[in-house]
Amino acid sequence: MRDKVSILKALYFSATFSLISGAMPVYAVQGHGGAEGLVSHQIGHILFISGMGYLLYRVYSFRITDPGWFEFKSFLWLIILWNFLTFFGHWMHEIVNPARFISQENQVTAFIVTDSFDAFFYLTLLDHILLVPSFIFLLLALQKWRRVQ
Amino acid sequence: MTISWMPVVYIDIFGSALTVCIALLCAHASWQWSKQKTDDIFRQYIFLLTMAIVCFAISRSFGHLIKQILLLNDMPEIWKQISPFSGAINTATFIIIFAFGIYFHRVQRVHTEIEEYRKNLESLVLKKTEQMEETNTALHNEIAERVQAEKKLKQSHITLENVLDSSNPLCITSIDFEIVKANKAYREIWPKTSTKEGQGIKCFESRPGALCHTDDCPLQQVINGKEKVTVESVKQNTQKGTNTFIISARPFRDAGGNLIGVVESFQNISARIKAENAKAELIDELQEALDKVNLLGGMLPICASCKKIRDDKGYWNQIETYIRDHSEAEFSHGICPDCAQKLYPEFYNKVDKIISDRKK
Repeated sequence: MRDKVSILKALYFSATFSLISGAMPVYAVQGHGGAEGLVSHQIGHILFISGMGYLLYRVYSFRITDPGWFEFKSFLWLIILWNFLTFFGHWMHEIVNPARFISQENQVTAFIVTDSFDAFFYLTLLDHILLVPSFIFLLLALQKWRRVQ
Repeated sequence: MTISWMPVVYIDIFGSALTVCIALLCAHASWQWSKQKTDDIFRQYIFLLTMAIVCFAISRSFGHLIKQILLLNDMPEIWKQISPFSGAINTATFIIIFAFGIYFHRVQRVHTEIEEYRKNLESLVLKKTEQMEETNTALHNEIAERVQAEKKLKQSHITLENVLDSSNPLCITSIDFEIVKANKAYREIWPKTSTKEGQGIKCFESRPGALCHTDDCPLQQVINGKEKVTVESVKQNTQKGTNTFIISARPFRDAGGNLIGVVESFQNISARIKAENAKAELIDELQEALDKVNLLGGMLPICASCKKIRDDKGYWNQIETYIRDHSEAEFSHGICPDCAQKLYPEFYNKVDKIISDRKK
């Protein structure tokens, strides 16, 4: 038993020494510049969609028909749609042609729509059309729950 | 086609402001709903989920408002510096919301289980409460019945005491010869029926008599199997000395018919005996007197000449001697006027003349 421990110790120290003696110079902290911020934000949107989608699935699975749950499901549907809309909005914002934006004195004043892509991109910028109703439905759901129970 | 950028700006500003307001109302509604029932795990979960969504809404909306304000005021550089933080906060809230979202099922399941347990518990409590109420009612009825029975028993006891106290001296003695119960009349004759500790004393200590510790003891006879024993016995007592009683003893049995003692009643016949003795004496006296009257009655053989009477033995007795011996009569001797005239004529004439003169 003691022989085995001694062999393992010898191997451990040999490996450590060889790694230290043969190591190359590295940066201790990795940088997160460029598109990484957008990627992480987009992953956040995907997680948001996943979480709300799972929640919506479970709500449908439970077949809850009590007052307030229709409004809550509507909220979930709208917030998921909003997430999709903003997800595509963020992505399209990166690839849309900057020439489409008409500016005056560093202020965007108009947008040139040449195809459906541009039109959809413009639509993604009006995301509050989905976000505000979704929050209204959430409020209605909470109020109904509060009144009923 | 060129589209104005203003709708984007206005919708963003008003939408963000409206979102903040609605989000705050949601937070308020959720908080109030959760406060209605603080032990409801599902409400607490919805409250936390709502708060995460509200945090996202507020951070995003404020980010957008600041962005629009800065851009409208020609400060895009500042927005460039702020925007990473705003976006990062939004991303963090997305992750938190995701985390809450995937726990919905578990929370819902736990909530359902708790509710089921609670319903079962409430049902069980309700059932147990009903059972307890039924038991309580039954107990209440039983207590009422017992109280009623106790009243009846008390009344019966009083009735029995009255009956016992209105009868001859009576006592119940155990098969160990210990006095268990004695009525008032008994205690008047033999006051000592129990010790100071309330324990009954032995019958032969209470009312010692000639039959005690003998086979003729009525208690012993009943214990030996007799159904009724009646004896006459002289008993002592401290107050009235010695008295004669007719003692009637009968078995005293429990509900199962087992002999547990003897019921004895005492009839004081001392006065009667005394009266009987007096009566016998009177009868004797009368008989004796009658005997004497009978001697003077009937046929008496008397001499026609000398008037002597012949007794049973054949002797001739002077008539006054015979009557004196056979009656209470006594004789005093005198002389009648005829005999005096005949026997003593001179003396009789003188006396007769004196009497006649006095009469005149």
